[in-house]
Amino acid sequence: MEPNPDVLRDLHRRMVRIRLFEEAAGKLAEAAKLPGFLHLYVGEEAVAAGVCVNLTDADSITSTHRGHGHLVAKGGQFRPMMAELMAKSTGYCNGKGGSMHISSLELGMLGANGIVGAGSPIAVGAAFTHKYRDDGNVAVAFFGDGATNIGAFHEAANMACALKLPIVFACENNEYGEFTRRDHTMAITDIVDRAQGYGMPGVIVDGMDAVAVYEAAAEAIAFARAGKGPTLIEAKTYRFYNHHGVQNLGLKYRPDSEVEVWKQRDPIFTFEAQLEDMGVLTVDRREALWAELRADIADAITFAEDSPYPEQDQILEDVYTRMEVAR
Amino acid sequence: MGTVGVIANPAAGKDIRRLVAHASPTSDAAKIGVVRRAVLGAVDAGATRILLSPDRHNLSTRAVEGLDWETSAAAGVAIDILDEPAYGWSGDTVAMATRMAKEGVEVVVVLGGDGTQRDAAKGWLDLALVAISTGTNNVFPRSVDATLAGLAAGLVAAGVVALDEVSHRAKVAHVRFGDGSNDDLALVDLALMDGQFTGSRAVWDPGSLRALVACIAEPAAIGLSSIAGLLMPVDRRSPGGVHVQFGGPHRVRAPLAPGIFSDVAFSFVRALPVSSQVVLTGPGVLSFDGERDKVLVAGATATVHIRPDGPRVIDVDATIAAAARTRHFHRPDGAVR
Repeated sequence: MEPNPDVLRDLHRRMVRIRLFEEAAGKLAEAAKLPGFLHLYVGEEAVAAGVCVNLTDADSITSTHRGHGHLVAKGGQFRPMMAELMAKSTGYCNGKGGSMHISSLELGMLGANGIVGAGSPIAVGAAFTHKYRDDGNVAVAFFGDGATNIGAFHEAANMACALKLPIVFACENNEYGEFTRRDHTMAITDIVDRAQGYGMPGVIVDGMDAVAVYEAAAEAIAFARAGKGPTLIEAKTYRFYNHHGVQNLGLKYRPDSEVEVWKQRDPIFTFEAQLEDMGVLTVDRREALWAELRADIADAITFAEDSPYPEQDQILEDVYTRMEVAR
Repeated sequence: MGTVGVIANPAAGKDIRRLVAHASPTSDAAKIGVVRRAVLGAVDAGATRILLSPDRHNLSTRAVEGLDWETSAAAGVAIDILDEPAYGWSGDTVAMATRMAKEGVEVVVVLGGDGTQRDAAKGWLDLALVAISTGTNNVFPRSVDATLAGLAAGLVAAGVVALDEVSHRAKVAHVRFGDGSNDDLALVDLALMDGQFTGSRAVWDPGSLRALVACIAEPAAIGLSSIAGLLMPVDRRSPGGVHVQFGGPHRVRAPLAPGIFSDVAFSFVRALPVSSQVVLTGPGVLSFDGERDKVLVAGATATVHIRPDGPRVIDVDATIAAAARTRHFHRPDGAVR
């Protein structure tokens, strides 16, 4: 059930990488150095890390508009990520995807997505590919509570179950769809209640607890690899910042007291305390890790700032696939 | 006189055992029906006030909205929802039970699994309790339709049947920690397992078990307590409990989770008299009534005593039978209530 110490340290590193990348991106956005909207994943790190630590590069994931955390957890490197956020040609998508459309096919990260609910059908396609090729790989669709109200999610979940595809539906229920409380847009509270309507098992885990997410994801992914079909994991979690941008308190649509309660359950700090109690992590090792990753972030920012924007004649590159037409 | 409390745990029946075992899901829609039937049962029995716990899923609100109170037998019955904040964690059930004690509730219907019943007992140790199972592998609450559970609760609350005639005092495994943290309790069993995390909380791996103290050790059960029950049965009404030490030459086969049977290695099993105690020593994680809930660091101790000072558990069958014997359900010819 429990991850071994190597996996625990891996989970921790993935979460700290996400946190530092997001905090740095937030500061750059405040300084008007990033174009476009920025949706920060801070607070939800345990979900991406707990799921992705169970995956390989050959497994596929689809993400959301809040997608940096999923790419970092899937092994994304800071330099091409930061460059992509700055729309530079050295980015993962040569600067033409940006925050909300960042992807890395080599890492099996099939894309963040600006459209709520649009990632799940893509993950179903990837899962179909894995089943058709019989390559033993799985797909994971990350999405939020709000996405389950979208028709595309329904079609994706239904088709995945009908075809018994190797896919895990990983719902990050952070209680808000953009600026609207969940209970204003749906008459149920637990997304998992929808799972049985499609004919798949669904479980709830504490999305602020990396080990809880890890345990459920390990089981769900093994279930998919074994050919048993889709599952739904609902991770109860919370974003510490606004829907977009870096404001956290004083928001009109959610009370500060609620934010403070969730922040006391910070997935990284609570995990570090546990690891230190266990002797898996020392204070020195923790401080060294944060320092090392902060240096990586600083390097990535310099790299991105020094990188050129794409040239005008590259505008259509990587946009259309050139197909040989048989004559 | 005549107040029935209803506490529903929205989190019950949705954990990882739907994936690692073969447990069925329990949706909110199902729970709303259970709450509604419990209310209707209690009202029909003659309860004059129903006090429901608020919850983050609004189970209680939805259960009672839309009921046609004017034309039903409920006319004149007060239906209230406690003005107590619900945060969406297990502490909610504890707080609701404590509050219901202060509100003068006579009988509480608690809907949930073993974990929910335990939380209710933590909030009000000797509450008069009708325990309904909506959780996963339940030992403490019995499977009974809420219509009848509510009816039994109402009959006792309204004074139709005397509590002492139809209830027994539940045993409690009281836990005291060497590090001075707050005392805790279990209603079914307490287990020490390998590990350092509470994780997804459920328990399904027999290889991680180190020791078990069961205050209910009944053979026809699912979960850790079934190990004790199959080796040395001590039912819920008999004094004392059972202590099993794991790892060792002996094997017992037991259903540890719904649909999951495992061979469990143990070194000894012994009866645990009321006066005795068991000391469990870390490192490890303690499971209370089947859920990993507290980490013990190396050398930390948890001392367990079993005492019969828990909830006064109402026997639903016995209660309705007692009321029937007094011709409570007879109506004069032609009378309409």
